[in-house]
Amino acid sequence: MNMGNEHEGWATGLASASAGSLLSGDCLVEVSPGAAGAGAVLTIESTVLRAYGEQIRAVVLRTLAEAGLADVMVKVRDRGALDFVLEARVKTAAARALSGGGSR
Amino acid sequence: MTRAVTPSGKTHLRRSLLFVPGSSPAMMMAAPFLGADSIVLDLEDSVPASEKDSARVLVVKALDSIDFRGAEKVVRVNSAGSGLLKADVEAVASRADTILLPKADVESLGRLAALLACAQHAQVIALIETATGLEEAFACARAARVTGLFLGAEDLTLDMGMERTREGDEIFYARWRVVAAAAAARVASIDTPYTDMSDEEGLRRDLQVTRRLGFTGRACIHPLQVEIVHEALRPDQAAVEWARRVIRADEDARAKGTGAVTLDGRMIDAPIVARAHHVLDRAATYERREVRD
Repeated sequence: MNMGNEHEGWATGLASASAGSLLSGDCLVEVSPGAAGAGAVLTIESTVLRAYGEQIRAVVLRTLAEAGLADVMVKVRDRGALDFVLEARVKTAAARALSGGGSR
Repeated sequence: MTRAVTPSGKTHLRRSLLFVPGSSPAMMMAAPFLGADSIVLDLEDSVPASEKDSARVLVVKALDSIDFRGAEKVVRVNSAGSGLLKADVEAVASRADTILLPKADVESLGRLAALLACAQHAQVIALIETATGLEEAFACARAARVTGLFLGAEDLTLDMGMERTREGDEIFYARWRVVAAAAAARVASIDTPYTDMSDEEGLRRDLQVTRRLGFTGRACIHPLQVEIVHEALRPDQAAVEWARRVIRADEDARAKGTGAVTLDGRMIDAPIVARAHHVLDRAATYERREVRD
């Protein structure tokens, strides 16, 4: 899936990219450039959002910070992913976004 | 029976090596509960080219996060010719017990050993699946860090232009060669996976060859194959009883100072006694492992 770079010119050096899947135990993470200075804007879709939404949010934000991404829009479609899976998918999507985008 | 010893001193019995795609979180989470002695997180054939980067990150996180319940943690990296070997090894070497190198030969094992310089503990299993690898099997078994040879019949027959059959006559020489090289180097020998996952009877029949040739283990590509492999490689009760009688007869003869000794009309000499000890050793190891499971 190549999402293109709809937001080119917003956050420089960043493309749109995704990683993961919609299979059980996994999640699909989509990263795209956000407005400069807006910080990370998260959209989370999960059947356990009420119980684990904050935890998912914390993992995503921490992983984005480790990857050095600040002004981004991130959509997480969760299918029961554990923290390490979510972390891996965000890390890969971030790396792909920084290196030109797509889902490879 | 040949076993792999990890840096923590833990001994791994390699009867079964279960492959799990490095791109599948659900299968990686389930793997520790399926009873395999070794779990192979695969970065090679089961991962499409477009997902290599993603699988590498996921496998690293899985190695850091999942309790593999005492199973040997093996990662099949991409081959030396793939252009991905260095990145794979740098990511996983300090976390895995063992690296499984596809299309192994003396040259690629040398490259891997150089990349492993900073991972003191890491062991290597050489996947023999090219004509060159097969011809160099003994040298591969003696290469740095190698604690096992693994026959990969699908790629080998492809490399050699052979027809691959259900009967497997075409791979008899390769099986024999791999077992001989591994035995000579005192490392584990792992037989090729049985690829028809729905044919349990076929697997049982084929495992008789695995056992008769002296392979120490077998690769599994489906969880249902694990228990079938363990059952087939377990020394049966008749063999254990025979081994006990041989050892008793040998001890009696020694106590009496008798030279040659016979049992059921057959001469018992040193190789027979050694075989009997080997059977009992294997049976005891299985028993300990089954108690743990």
